[in-house]
Amino acid sequence: MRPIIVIVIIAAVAIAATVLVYLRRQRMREEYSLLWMLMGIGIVVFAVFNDLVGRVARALDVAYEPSLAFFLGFCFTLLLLFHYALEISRLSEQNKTLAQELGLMQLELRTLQRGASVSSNAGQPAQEEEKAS
Amino acid sequence: METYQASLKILLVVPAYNEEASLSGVLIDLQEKMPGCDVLVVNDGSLDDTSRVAHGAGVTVIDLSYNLGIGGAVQTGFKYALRNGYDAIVQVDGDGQHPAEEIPRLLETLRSERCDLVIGSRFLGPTSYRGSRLRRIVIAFLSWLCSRLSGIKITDSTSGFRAFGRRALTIVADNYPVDYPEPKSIYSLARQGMRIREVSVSMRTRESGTSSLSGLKALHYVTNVTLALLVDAIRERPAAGRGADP
Repeated sequence: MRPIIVIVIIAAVAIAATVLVYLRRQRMREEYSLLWMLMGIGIVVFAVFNDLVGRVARALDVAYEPSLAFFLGFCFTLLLLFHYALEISRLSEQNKTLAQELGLMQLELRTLQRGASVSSNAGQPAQEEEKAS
Repeated sequence: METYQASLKILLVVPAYNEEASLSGVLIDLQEKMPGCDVLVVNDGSLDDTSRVAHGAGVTVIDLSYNLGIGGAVQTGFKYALRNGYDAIVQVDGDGQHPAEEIPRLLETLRSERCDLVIGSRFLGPTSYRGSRLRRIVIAFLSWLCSRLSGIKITDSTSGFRAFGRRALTIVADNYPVDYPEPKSIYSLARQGMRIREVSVSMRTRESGTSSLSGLKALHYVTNVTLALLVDAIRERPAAGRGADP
């Protein structure tokens, strides 16, 4: 077996082991672990059957066979980044809402503690013409 | 001019980020000239004494745990206003740019013209505005873009001196841009059938702090807002306001 293949297999197993460790410590959510495990398995498969990339590349008529491997890796990375972009957007929105609610509740708490009621005149009817608009 | 104050419940929302130097003057000004209105300071995670100054001024204060940016801070005010039954709010910056004596004109237009959003513009009338050349170009370009997209003549798209009616409040309390919200919200609200008007106001040069618009920041501002406006044009919307499909 060529040295490079041994190195790649060791690296892939190390990734899988790391994922398992973090999963056990509950530091990573399962949905992510699956993604990384699949990638580790994929690397091992391509390393063991090292003609696989070449065969697929030839079938797809890729001029320079190894570039297919880079292309697949690039696609994986892009998908992952896109997924993270979605997650970050969602998290920052939730984060903002949380900070706002906390601020509003702290005010409410202070008001209650002071024994005053902010909402005492909340039900005050507005002028009728405004209601109609 | 007393009528709306007597009949409507109005909240003056003052977003403040590190404004300890100017905030107290702004609040005194508001309390003196707009005695019929409640004042809410949203302290946007300031690192200085803004919170203490606000609490000491005898107004309602919301302290955000960390800095959310102007959009997130003002939106907190929108939410507070809705939950506490206010009919309208006026956003007044904590840096002293927006003179309290102009507030009645915003509110008067909101009422008499049945608008949902009234923007105080520095450029509608004769202006004494002394911003940098770059700043004026940025404002002019974004105002032109907002006008083209929304079909409403806008001269001061970046003005944060504005009054929101209750109908607009229900929209912006749910969904308001985090950064550079002023130009973005114009088009977004226009698309949802809100009536928008500008009135001419005078603004002071800021009492403290800087809003220096360096080249890179201006570029970021323009590209960020332009992108957001174009994205908004293709965005799906829940049915709201006038002209929405059933």
